[in-house]
Amino acid sequence: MNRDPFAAIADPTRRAIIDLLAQQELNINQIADHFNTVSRQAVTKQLKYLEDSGLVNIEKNGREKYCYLALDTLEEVNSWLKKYEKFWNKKLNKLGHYLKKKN
Amino acid sequence: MAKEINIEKVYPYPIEKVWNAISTSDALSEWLMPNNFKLEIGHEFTFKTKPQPGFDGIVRCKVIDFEIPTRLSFTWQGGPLKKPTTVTFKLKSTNNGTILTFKHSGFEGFINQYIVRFILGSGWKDLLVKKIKMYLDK
Repeated sequence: MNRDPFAAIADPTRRAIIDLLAQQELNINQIADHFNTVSRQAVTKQLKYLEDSGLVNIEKNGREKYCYLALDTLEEVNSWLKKYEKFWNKKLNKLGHYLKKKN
Repeated sequence: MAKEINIEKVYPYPIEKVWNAISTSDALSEWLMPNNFKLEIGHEFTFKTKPQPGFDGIVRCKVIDFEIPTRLSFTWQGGPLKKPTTVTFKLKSTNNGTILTFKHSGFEGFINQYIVRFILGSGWKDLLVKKIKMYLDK
């Protein structure tokens, strides 16, 4: 099912989950541990909602289900990192030329 | 998605020469950018380059770790990077020269910044349009 990401982030629990996952990927239990007033079952339901809206990916790894933000969709971040990689490659080649010139 | 940049280069020169090239202000000015670097833990310095839209041309740095002649780390902050990232050079001697292992890491703050912007702004909407277009183009 596809859900509207705007509706997904309208809910404070779902926003809190996004904040947690912005720091690191976590399994469902680790996420549930962060909430005192929300049951594990409710957290699982909210995660499913976030997954349906394309904001979070959930992957099964053995018995655990890992959740992480769908960063692969954030193309702008990716393109920045590519720019930095290109910058450093160019500079490190320049370092090679510098060494050659000096020696 | 890669959250850090890793590059490996081999230079056909002894480790001391490569070390000097990455750890002195003059050498860094020649191949990287003009700077006021000093090899001193805690030293704060800048690299300066031509300003561009969205970037004042100043990279703010601080030496956080080094070991002569094998390791140098400093922070790197500027332009779209509102929070400090980390740049690390590691050198290793080989038969025919020196291997440089370069790493630029600590982009979490940068990535979060984008997430926040996407969530607060209309990024997701644009993204959905893009996604839909991608499916249609398949």
